[in-house]
Amino acid sequence: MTESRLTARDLTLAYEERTVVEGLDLDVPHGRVTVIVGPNACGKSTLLRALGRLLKPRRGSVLLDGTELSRMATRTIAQSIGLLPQTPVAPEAITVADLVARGRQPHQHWWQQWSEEDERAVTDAMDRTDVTALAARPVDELSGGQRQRVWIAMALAQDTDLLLLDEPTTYLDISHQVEVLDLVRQLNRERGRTVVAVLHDLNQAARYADHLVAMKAGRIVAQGRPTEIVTVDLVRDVFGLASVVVPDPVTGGPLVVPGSPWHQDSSAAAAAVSAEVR
Amino acid sequence: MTPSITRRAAAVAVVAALAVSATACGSEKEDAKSAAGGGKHTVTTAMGKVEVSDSPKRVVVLDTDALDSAITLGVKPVGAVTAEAGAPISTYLPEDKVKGIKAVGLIMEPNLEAIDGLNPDLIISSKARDEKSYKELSKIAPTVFTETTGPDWRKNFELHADVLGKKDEAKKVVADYEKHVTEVTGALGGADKAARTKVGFVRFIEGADTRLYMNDTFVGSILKDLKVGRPANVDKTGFSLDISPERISEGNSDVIFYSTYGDPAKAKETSVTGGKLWKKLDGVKNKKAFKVDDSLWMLGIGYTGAGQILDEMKKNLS
Amino acid sequence: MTASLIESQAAAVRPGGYSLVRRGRASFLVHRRAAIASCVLAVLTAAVCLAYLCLGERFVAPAEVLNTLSGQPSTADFVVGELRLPRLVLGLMVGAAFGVGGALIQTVARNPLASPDIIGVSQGASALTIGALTFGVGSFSVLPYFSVAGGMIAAALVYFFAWRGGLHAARFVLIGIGVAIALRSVVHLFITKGDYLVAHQAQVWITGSLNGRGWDEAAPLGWTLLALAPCVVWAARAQRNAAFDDDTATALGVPLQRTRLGLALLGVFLASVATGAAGPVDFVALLAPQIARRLTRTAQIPLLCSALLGALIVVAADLPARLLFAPVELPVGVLTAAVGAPYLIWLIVKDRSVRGSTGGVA
Repeated sequence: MTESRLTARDLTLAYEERTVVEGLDLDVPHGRVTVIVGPNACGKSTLLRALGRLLKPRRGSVLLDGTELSRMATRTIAQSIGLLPQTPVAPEAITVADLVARGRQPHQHWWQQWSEEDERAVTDAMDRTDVTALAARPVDELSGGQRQRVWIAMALAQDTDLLLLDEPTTYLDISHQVEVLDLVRQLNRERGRTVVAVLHDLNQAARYADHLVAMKAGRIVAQGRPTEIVTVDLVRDVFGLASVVVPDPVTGGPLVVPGSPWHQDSSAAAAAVSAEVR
Repeated sequence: MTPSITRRAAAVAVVAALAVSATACGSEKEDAKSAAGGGKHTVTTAMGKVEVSDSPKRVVVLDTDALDSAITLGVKPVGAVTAEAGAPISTYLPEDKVKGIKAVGLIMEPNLEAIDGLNPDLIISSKARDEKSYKELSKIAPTVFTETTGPDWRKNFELHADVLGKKDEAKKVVADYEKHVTEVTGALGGADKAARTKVGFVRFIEGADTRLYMNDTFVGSILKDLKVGRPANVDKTGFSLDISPERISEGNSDVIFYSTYGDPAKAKETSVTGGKLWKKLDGVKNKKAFKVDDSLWMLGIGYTGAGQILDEMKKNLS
Repeated sequence: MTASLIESQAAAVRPGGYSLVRRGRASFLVHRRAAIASCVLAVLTAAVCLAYLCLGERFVAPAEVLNTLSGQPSTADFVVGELRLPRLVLGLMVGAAFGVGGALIQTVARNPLASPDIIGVSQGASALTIGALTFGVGSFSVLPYFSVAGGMIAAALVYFFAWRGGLHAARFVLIGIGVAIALRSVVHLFITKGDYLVAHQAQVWITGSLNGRGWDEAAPLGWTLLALAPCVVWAARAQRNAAFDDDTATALGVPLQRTRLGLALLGVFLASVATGAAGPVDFVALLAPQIARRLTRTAQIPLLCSALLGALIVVAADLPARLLFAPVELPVGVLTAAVGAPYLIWLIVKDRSVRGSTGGVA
């Protein structure tokens, strides 16, 4: 495993009485795309929120370059970690350019409201996400796909080495999903950004992750390269789903095809196919 | 917003203001404050010592008791307040005596500019009414405040008479009143009989509890002067016994005077006097329950008002 | 997306509608519409102020008014300098304080309905003030302290009842309205129980009135606002980020709880102080921020515009309040309510038909 700037140690996370994540350790590999997957309520979004200091650990800690997040000013963290929540709410009637520009917040002061660096970062972020043409439009009026791209542009304008994305493809149709994930990978490949994303689609996760983290009931069940860890057993263990895993005809990576539960001997068939593939 | 914007805005504002003013011109001469003839003397008021003219000519009264005092002593004020917008200066004082008095706003909310416009040489009110405007009023004219209005009306009258320069007339007014009281007591059948007749006063009020008036009120003090009896629960120091409609039995007495402030239905007068409990009161059974004018009995504070109240009592009771 | 990869040269993007002022490393963004609106409002307010000082029981020519203002002796010194000016200055300050206070609370609650006169702050200030009057605690000079304390207590109550591990905008407003209604009945209870003189005083106070106010009321408010000015400058920038949901704001490096608490405290304090000086002048805190935002079309409520509008509304309403039924002076709150009530209804109808109130869960 490569070195890591962002790590979690013995992390226990809870909402009031309900413990969601318990005793979790994680090293986010530097310069890679890490994708966290798992069934609903497994704690994957909770983990991401803790990595982005939105949730205070009940026990243990999240460390950025060896310093506990809880000991850092939130503004200092924002200079290193960008984060896009699952359902961000924009100020009413804000325009696209305004919203993206807000990403520069952690780099600004009251006497430095718009530096050349701000302008460069915002222009670049909007260009990358292809929202420049929308600059003067109110965010309220955009389609779901456009809006998501604008939010990503804002997170990009923040110009951080680490970028955390909580289900960035929710509410998007398939082509926009691919568009967004392609963009994420591009940022990683071309700018060397470290990305951590929570995705609920296992196949998308397998396709875009350099490092896949599979969670179940608040624990990490497996992590590593998708080709190494995505197996019929893992899918059954984590999602409780019978499936076959075949090579993705486009990428050659693992592709999970659910077995047909209405078919009497589906599991037998699945096992047969799986064995054949191997 | 940057500071420069604020400055720019301020500059524009000043220029605009100057431009408007430059086009207009002319000024008004303020009338010299009419110097009252004669000397001055110092009186002690609720707000401290105040130097007043011995014979003020232009008096503004900001409370009903001061108005009553002035009219009683033969002084017509130049300005007075009204109880509400458009209401007459007074409902009970003789019309010719209050004709020509300029309204200067509402009681407790006098219009200071209107008062200033009258160029008064004396302003009379009470601390309870107008404390907050004392400073401004004092700059307009010597301002004399009594502590409050109501139970101390006789003492207040003395101060009013002093500052109005009518001390001698006041002695006569007081003597006349005492004679009037004796006369009414006589008409009631003498002091002994009066003392055996218990008289109560009930006031229905829109937006508040019903009040049974006790001794420290204007009405209470007149009843004491008459030496009539008072129901035990209100025959004590204090302002009033406040009751809800279902407790109206506590307002029991041989004779009941009642009045209503505001809308009779909303003040619950209609429902109470139409109810069973009301009919069980001694005064009601004896046909000795009388509805009277609220503005006279409650706000007619002064010797003229008291005289009219005495007349009504005499008419109803003898 | 693919298109953007091909056309690599993109024009520089800047937040729309802003002018950039750069001096060395320092740089400032000035919202053009907001700047223009502020200037126009300032001029308009100045004009209304001049009319305010000229008109009344006796007309005073503008030249004389200016003489008095510039300290030269004039025959109008008393009427203008001692009667109209303090009342005008108080009206301006009360309006500005309501404008800014309303803007901050609306921003923190993320709801245009969440103004101090709707969610109980004004009612809390009224309740304690009238309680003080009723129980004879207060001479007039100490009443403002009761107002501030009452407003703060009411806000704390709303916060306490609305907090469920976070503040939800809609719940916050609903609970605020509930608290407001409860406190209003407390006010009426006090008035009912009070001596008739006190009841009368309370009745006048409760409508929100500048009648008979002088330098004694204006001066303490002036010093208080002056002391709060640096906080308002801070708030103007801090509130930009309070309009985001909690997660996004935190992600942008905003110390959210502190910022929001600071903004809310400042907003409640301003509204309470204004209430203490003039009584609850209804709807100013509701109207001014929303009109200001529609004028400037900015994402956040522009504080300077909101302050100017609040001042303009109060003074422009108090002028006819003084003149219309002279010598009887109406409480200014009657006029602001006449304008504000229809707006409130419109806001509620619009809010329901177009979209639910925005608001995230913390």
